[in-house]
Amino acid sequence: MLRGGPSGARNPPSLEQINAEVFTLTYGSIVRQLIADFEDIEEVNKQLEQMGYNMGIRLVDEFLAKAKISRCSSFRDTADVVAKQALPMFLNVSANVTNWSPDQTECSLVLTDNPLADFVELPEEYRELKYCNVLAGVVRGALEMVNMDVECRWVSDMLRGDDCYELRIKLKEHRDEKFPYKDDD
Amino acid sequence: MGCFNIYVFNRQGTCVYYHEWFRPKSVRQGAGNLQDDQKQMFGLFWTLSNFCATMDPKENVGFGRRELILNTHREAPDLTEVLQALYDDIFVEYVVKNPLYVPGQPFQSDQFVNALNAFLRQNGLLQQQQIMQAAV
Repeated sequence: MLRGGPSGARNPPSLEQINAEVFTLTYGSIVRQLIADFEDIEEVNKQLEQMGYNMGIRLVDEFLAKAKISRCSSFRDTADVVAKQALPMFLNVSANVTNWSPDQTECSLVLTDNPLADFVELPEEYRELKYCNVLAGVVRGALEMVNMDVECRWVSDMLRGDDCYELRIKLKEHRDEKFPYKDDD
Repeated sequence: MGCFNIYVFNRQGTCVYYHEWFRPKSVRQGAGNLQDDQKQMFGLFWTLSNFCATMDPKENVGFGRRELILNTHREAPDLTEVLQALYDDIFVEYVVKNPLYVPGQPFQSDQFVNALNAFLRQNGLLQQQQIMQAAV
């Protein structure tokens, strides 16, 4: 019989952790395998993005379940949540949100540390490889699930000699939810 | 006191999971068939949330929705936390993390069903049918 509601305090949700080096090395071997399989760097970039997208559309549910965040009221808030909560939660790094475009639809996430790319050196022949492109896909997939269509691309990459990692996020459309059924259904 | 049925809707308003424990009046006496029943349920909550958004003095931008609807006996207390925990600990753990689950598609998973039942029982929301029948 139910009296007085559910047992009050819930255990804080646990996040499974993985050793950072195992993670880095596993990611590295995935990229290596993709290069071996596709032999075309552009195609590898595309595949990494797609893999990230598939992760993103699931990962957002876990994030929403565990982060205990409230509603974001603007794209600005959303970008902050990604940089200050989502990235620390899943990658154990945080990013800065900078370079806002005047109309507030474009910004950059700047990372100075990136566990995906530890121990990585990019050989000259793979200069076009966007090694961390999986992350661009994750962000795109996750935001799409909360009704924001965004475009993500890397504009700086420490592996290519820049002084930080900079992921440019452009809000293409903030979709309003529409009633999915027609009247006569 | 217990649950009658549960609906899980995806972001397109399609019912991706439905389960009923106890439904005193069959669907035929209501919407006609299960599909219409689910559609009407979604429509009801859509309207309610639109109504709330209209009444809300703050300007809130919409947020992706995932709807869990749990019909319970009227004597059940406030279940906000239970519903939140159901999403956090059961849906995410057993459905979203299931590699066979395609996001947004209907799913069937024994693990999820077992976890769901265990969770509701733990919260005192699943009792024997007789008690419920007597309570109606």
